Amino acid sequence: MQLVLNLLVAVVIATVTGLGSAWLVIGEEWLFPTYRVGEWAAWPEGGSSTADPYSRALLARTGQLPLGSGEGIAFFAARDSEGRRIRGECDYLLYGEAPQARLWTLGLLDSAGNVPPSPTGRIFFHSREILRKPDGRFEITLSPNARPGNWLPIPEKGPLTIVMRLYDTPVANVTTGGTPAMPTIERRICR
Amino acid sequence: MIRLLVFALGGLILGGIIHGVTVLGVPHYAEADAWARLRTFGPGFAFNVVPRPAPDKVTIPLLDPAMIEATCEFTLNDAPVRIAASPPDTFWSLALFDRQGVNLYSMNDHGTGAKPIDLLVATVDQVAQIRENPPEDFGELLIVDWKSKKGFAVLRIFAPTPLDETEAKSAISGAQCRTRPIQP
Repeated sequence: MQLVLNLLVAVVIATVTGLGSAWLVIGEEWLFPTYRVGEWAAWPEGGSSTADPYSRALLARTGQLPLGSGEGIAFFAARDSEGRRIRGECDYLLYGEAPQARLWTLGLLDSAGNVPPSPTGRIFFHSREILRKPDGRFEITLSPNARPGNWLPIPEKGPLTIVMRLYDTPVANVTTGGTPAMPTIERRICR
Repeated sequence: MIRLLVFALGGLILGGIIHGVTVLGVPHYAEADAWARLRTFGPGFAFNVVPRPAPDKVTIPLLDPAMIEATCEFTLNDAPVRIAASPPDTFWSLALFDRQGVNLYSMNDHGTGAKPIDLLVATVDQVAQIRENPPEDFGELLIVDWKSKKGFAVLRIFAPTPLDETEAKSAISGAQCRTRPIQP
């Protein structure tokens, strides 16, 4: 009887820790960002042949098609410069400069990883259309309400993730790319 | 009590093994991996346009809405696959993924020096056959060694406006992704 109980304990512990931990690490999101720049994080190994087993499992589960190092790299920011979750309830000013890249695009994801609806139809900005200051720096205002200059509409509520994709960039090569200068995401007024 | 602790420790070790087996097994059992999703867009050995991500429309997660993307699944059972396309004069990139969705090879429009895409994906054996007796028209081809028998190509073309989208789609419909016998 004692043996059966002990075995039962062992089996329960094995199942819970084994399956539970596996489920935790291969959920919907990348767990171990290898590339952090301020509030931005990237997972370049997801697009390389040296992907670890966790990255491979996540790729298989989500079916995404990550950018390879010859294409570019995607940076994600879910928090502002002070570490607060980015949400539609607030306005944000994204300012600064972009790392060296032949092209970049800037878009949004909602909590489910989808492109959120936009009242004006604008769902991204790209480097070839953006209005810049004379020194080459730029500002993008994220707000549900119309704003002058580069305005990217966001939903009125809910968590958001900002995605900046850099194409044909030395930054995509992690070992030689150095620390790129990513724009700052500053929270403005909240409603 | 000591015995219970020993069993608990054994359970933890077994849990570690289960963890490892599960993580390694997921790519083999996942049902919604890229390979399965791409099949819904069209047949293999042809570039099929992936519906552009838009509000309330998800097909492949995390695609850039500024790009038109097309994919082509291929197998190298009988012969190499030739991938050829002439994308419009804008930014584009091409990536080759293995069956498990790992990006093994990628390039962009600067890599080809403004020439159209023309590459041959071949297994090690097929490359050896080509080297032995190179067909005349293979001189200009870029040959990519492929370790397995299956894979898929993803072509991404920068297309921020509807006009760009039309041009990108017309380039995609003219793109090739076909079996190319070594000896014609």
